[in-house]
Amino acid sequence: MSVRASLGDNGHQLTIRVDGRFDFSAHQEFRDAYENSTSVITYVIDLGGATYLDSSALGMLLLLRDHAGGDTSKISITNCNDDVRKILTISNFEQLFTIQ
Amino acid sequence: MSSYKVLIADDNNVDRKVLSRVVRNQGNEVIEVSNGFEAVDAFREHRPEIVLMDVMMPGLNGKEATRQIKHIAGEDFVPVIFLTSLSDAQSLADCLESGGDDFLTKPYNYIVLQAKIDSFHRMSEMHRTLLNQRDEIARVNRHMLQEQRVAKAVYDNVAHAGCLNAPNIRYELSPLAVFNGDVLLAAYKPGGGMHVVLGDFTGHGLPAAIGAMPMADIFYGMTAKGFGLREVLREINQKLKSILPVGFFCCAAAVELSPDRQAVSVWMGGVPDCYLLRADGECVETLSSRHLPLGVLSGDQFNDKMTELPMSKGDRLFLWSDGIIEARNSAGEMFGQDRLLDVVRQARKPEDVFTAIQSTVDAFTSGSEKDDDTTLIEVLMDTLSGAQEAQKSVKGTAGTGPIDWSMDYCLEASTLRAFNPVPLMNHIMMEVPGLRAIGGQLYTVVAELFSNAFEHGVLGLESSLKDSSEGFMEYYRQREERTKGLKDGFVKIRMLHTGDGHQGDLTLIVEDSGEGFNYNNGEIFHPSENRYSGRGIPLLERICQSLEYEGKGNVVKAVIHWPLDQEARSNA
Amino acid sequence: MLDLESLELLREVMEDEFGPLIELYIADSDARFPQMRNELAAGNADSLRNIVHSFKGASSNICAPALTKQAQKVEHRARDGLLVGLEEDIASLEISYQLVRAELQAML
Repeated sequence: MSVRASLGDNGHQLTIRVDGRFDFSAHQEFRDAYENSTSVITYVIDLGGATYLDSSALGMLLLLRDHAGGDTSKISITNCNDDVRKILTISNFEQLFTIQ
Repeated sequence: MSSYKVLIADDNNVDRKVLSRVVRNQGNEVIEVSNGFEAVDAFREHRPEIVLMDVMMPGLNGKEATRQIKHIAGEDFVPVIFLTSLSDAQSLADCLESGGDDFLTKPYNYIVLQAKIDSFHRMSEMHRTLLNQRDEIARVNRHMLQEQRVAKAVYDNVAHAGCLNAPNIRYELSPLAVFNGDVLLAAYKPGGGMHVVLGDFTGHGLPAAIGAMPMADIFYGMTAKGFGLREVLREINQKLKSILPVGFFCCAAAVELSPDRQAVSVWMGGVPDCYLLRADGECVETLSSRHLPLGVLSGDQFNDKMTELPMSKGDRLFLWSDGIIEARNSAGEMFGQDRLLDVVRQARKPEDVFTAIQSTVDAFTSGSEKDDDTTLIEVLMDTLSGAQEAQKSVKGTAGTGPIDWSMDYCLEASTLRAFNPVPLMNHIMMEVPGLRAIGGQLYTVVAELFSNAFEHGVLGLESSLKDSSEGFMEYYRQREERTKGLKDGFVKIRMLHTGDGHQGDLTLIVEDSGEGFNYNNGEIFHPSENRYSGRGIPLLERICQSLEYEGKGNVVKAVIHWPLDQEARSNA
Repeated sequence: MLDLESLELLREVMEDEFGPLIELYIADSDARFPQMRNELAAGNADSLRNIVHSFKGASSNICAPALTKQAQKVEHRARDGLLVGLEEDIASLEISYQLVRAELQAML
């Protein structure tokens, strides 16, 4: 598991890439990845390298959403593999996030 | 320097005296004995922290005395230092072999002796700390297990108040499921039928268990009072949203079984696909999660829409948490949805499916470390004979609600500026047991009629504004502005109920102070009419038995007959 | 016969118990020589060895290294059961002891 964050669009877009198993062990790193970014408007969660997602990862996404402004947040989740996508679909997270 | 109790065993008077003096000079307390037997006795009596033991003594020699002392000491670490004039390597090694911790050769080097006593004392301190910590951990663990047992007992009293043991239910739930976050709830409805909920809280341990309590409480309390499953879910969602921290939620599948209508309503949020197996054992229908888990969305965003399916006697519904899907074999491979579907399809008889799932999952996971959080429930459509007992006990309270009554409620401008009467009206309606089951639909009707009367009638807002997204914003801007400046106007609400305890009619008449509009009652029931679409009328027509405008269009009368027919229930 | 430096250290360590310690050594050792001869006469090699062993230990702690070494030789012969001619060794050990004894008494 690894979490990498990168800023783009003049600091307005934060991309967080999670590789490997996205579960509770990513908790602190994932939080650290966005907590201190103040000028960010849009968030991209790149799950291209994520092999698995559990319910605590869903919880972390909800925490990010809360941090990013709740209903007004702009978060897209990209590059999900079939397994990861299925978990997001079962939980109907497309109602809260833009899933690409 | 702290003082230790040191036992010196030496039959040689001069040697013992010298040693004793050196040790006492360090500030320690000394017990002197002159043979092995005395050493063992003195150890029992005084429990010294360190023993200095001559090897060659008459009677019981030093090695044997040491063995006995170590035995008595048990798990306490009591260092024994052998005193010897032997100096060859083998003899010294023999000393350590026989249970000694170190040796000291004669003549004594006072500085070395001092250092050794200090170092062994540090070692026994460390050992003692270790033992204390070990005992503390064991104590805390015992305490925790005890607390868990108590918590589980409390939980069982709440969660198993229902009918999980009904003849039409089979289930598997880990005995400590409360601590892996899985919940199974089942209860007979006072009006017939059954509610079943399978929940899977995020996380493990106490955080997962804590949400299960209010969930079970609300489920049983509201079901017994006759509330419909949608109201129950709405309330649970609201409760979980308010008590759980962000990021914690409950995946759930909720089922309302209606044997009288041979139908089942299902709400699924965040749980894996479940299957409806027909009585013939051939046809398997897949039910999928359509909602976000409970506790994620706020009350006004929560979607309580249920999927209604025909379900005949002998049909079986299988629900599970992701524990089964994610059960792993020794190679780390997940059981997965496909294997599960195969088991359901390939079982010889429908009644075999449940045990086939259990045995297939067991065989699959054998040899791997078991997670033990397999939660599985089978709900069979049957006549629910067990329900009658339960209903009798609730009927008494269910029938005591108000039957024939009416109420007029007039809200003046000063009230309308800041007060929403819908929750209060809903509360009054919910006193009628028969209306509780359709509380959500009633809420929709009342909210819709009131907002029409207030926004279009009293405030005079144009519904056509809402046709474009800019207009939508403008509409709400005007609504806020006009509400603030509201000086005149009223909304009058009349509620009237008649019935016999088994069925009834609720009439709602809402009159506003506005100018009304040119209505044509014949067209109300055509949702394609642009004119009314902005007024939410199509939604209401499905629930209401009749809906008519009166007067100049500033009075609307809606009649709702309960129990609702099937179409109204599923579409609303 | 005595290691005076070590003996001085012993005196510092023992303080007021130094005198009684020396007296104890003399009393114990005086008694050991008749015991050694008895055991030797009875052919009890083990008992003889234990007595010489104790005498050796005490002598080492009383800072008489030459005496200790001499005692060790006797102890080893007793350990190995070589009792023939040991009487003379014990006699010469006692002579050495008497010298040490005299030196010690002079210090009191």
